[in-house]
Amino acid sequence: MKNILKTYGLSKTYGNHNAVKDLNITIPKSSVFAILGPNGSGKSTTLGMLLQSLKPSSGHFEWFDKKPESNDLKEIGAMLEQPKFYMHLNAMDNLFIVARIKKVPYDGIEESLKKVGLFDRRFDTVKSYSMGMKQRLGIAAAIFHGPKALILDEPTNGLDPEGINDVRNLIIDLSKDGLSIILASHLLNEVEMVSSHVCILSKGICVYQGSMSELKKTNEKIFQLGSSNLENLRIALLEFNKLNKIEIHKSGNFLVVHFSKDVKLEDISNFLSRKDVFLTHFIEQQFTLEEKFIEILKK
Amino acid sequence: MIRLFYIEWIKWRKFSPVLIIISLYTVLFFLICFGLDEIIIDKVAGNFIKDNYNSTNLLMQFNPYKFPDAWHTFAYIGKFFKILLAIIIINIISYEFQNGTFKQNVINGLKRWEYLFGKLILVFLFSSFSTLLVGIAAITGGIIYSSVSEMAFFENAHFLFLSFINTFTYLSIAVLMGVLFRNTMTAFVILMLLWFPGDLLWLLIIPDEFAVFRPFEVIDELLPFSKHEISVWKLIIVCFLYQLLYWLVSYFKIKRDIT
Repeated sequence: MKNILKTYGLSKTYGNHNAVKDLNITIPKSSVFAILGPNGSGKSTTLGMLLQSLKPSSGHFEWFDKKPESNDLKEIGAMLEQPKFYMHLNAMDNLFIVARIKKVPYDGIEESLKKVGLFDRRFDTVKSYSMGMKQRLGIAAAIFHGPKALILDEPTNGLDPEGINDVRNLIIDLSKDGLSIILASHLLNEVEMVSSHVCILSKGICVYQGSMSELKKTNEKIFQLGSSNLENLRIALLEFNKLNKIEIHKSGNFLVVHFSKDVKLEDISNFLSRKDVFLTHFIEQQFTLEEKFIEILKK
Repeated sequence: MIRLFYIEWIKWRKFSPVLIIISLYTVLFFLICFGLDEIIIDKVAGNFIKDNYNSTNLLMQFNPYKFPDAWHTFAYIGKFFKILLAIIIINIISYEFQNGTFKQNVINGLKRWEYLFGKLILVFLFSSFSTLLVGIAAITGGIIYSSVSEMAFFENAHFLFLSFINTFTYLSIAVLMGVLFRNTMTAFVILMLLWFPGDLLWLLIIPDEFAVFRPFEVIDELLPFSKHEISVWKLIIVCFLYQLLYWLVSYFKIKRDIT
């Protein structure tokens, strides 16, 4: 099995509104696949269909290279936004219920509670848990039976920085264990830290799909350059043959210079020293996921 | 089925509304049956005998706490308590929809029919529980008030079965209300409105000969104050048909999209 999920023209319509339109995604095994998009872009609707809680209006999908069956849900762990628990019960009872529903043994329950750091609080009622603890319990409920895939919808929603960090580290640990993870979020910096692949949804349509490294690749190299005299630096660079574009950084202290992809650092440095221009600031600018995301959505 | 029972057992065994209402149900039922026994025997049964037979002397002979009438008497008293069980059922279903655990259960792999079957098990258990209390009260009352020569123990014991059908059908409506309205207060108020003015409104549109088969009237007729006016089997069959209708509508309601 090379891919855990493939969708074929998956669509969901509510009246005249297309919540998801003609979605074709392929999720490789052992990847952390992020589904990104602004609010209302169709992320949760997509997950709802994949989890068979929503019926697609058209199209279909395959989990683990076969047509979906309700039994597939037992091979998938899912936590949608804030996980829902029986508040009057403790963590163990809640996971017992999940185990009985999935018809799986209880063996992994304690181990998963250890993994998410809730083992010591396992006999406390869930209503005494903080938001972050409930979120971690949600992940424990999703993984204790050893699923092949884990779906997380906005797993850091409503969490404080410590909680966000805990969940992020947990996702990284789980992916290292080889679990395939599908992650829907609008927190781009969080997604950037953990994801290997990405799909960007806009108004229900997939506008980009590929690996994270591919997404962040550019056709040019961009540097922030600074000197004691920015104007001299700008004039000197105008003669450099691999120059594409010069902009002034929003701080006004540096130039943002776009070079062709094959430029080397020493070429720039040697060229400027020949022109008696000496650099005081030299940083290669990396595209963040956020910048690429905005760029793609603008297109 | 054992799996679904176990799921429901874990879910609700520590749920305080269930524990409180079940305790209240038990205490109130026995308190009214045996704390107000003199009033029930002298005033209620006495007045009935006086009105219908123009005599009070028959009371000794027709004491409703004696066998075989005890089965009927306690089943009749018990039928008024089913409202408390309906509150539990509505509360449980509303909790699952409002708290999102129904959706979470489905995401975890519970089929919708399994969810509803779990509630069917609960309704069966609560109906059995209420029937058990009626049985215990009837045996206790019967033994206390009957002399040894009057111990017609099993005669009229079929009222236990009718008590079960009575509660089961009523709780089936409660399930439907919970599934349709998903809010304890709304579902309970609508259940009450359907019961009292609602059941009377049927009289405006159905012929008199079918009046006894109105949804709540037919349940009530299973355990009448005096004696059955139409065949018990007819009542039971109609109750079964209503139950089927309530469960089917509940199923089709939850089968729809849930997100």
